[in-house]
Amino acid sequence: MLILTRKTGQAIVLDNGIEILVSSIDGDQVKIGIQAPREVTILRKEVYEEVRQSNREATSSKANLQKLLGVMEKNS
Amino acid sequence: MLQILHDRIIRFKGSLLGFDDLDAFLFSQAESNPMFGYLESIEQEGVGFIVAWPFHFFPEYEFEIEERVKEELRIAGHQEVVVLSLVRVKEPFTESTANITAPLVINLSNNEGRQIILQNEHRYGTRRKLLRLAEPSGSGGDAC
Repeated sequence: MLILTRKTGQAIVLDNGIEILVSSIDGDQVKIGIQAPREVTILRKEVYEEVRQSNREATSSKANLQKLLGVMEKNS
Repeated sequence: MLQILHDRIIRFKGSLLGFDDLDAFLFSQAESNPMFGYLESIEQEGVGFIVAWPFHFFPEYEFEIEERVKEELRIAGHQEVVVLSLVRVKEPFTESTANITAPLVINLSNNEGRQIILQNEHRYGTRRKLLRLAEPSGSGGDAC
């Protein structure tokens, strides 16, 4: 991983189109500004990881669907 | 509700996180309950998901589809779109949850779909219980 040192107000440019700006620093919190083309998805990594994990855990057999429907019916 | 998707092959173009190499999924509606269906990969055997129509279970659920997603899926109007949530079955089954942070958005006119991640993630949740059973004490709960 490339590690760069930046001061408040300084930025990094990726691939000619994405700018990452260190907006402010307060203790261990850093505010970051990102300017990117609309087609670029920007996510907090923990959200990305949570969805990926959740997707993996969601794989299920069709037989489970029938069981789930049975339970839904009983409890509706 | 999901009858319109029955037997269609939806292309997600690798947008399901964790299944980035998979594109085409076959949808089949659950026979006895139109709010549920099953989505299975036609490229990789054994990969399938139980899905539900989230607005039935979470009446307050709403979100705006970002412009760039509309462009990617070539969505022209609301009537073209179906939204699904991935369901995670749990033991006991009454504990099963739906992921409403990362819904699947499908354009009916071209069978293209994307999993999108809603930015206001804390309001939605990746593990929302499908069944709201009567509360054990206090707080009333929904009588239904």
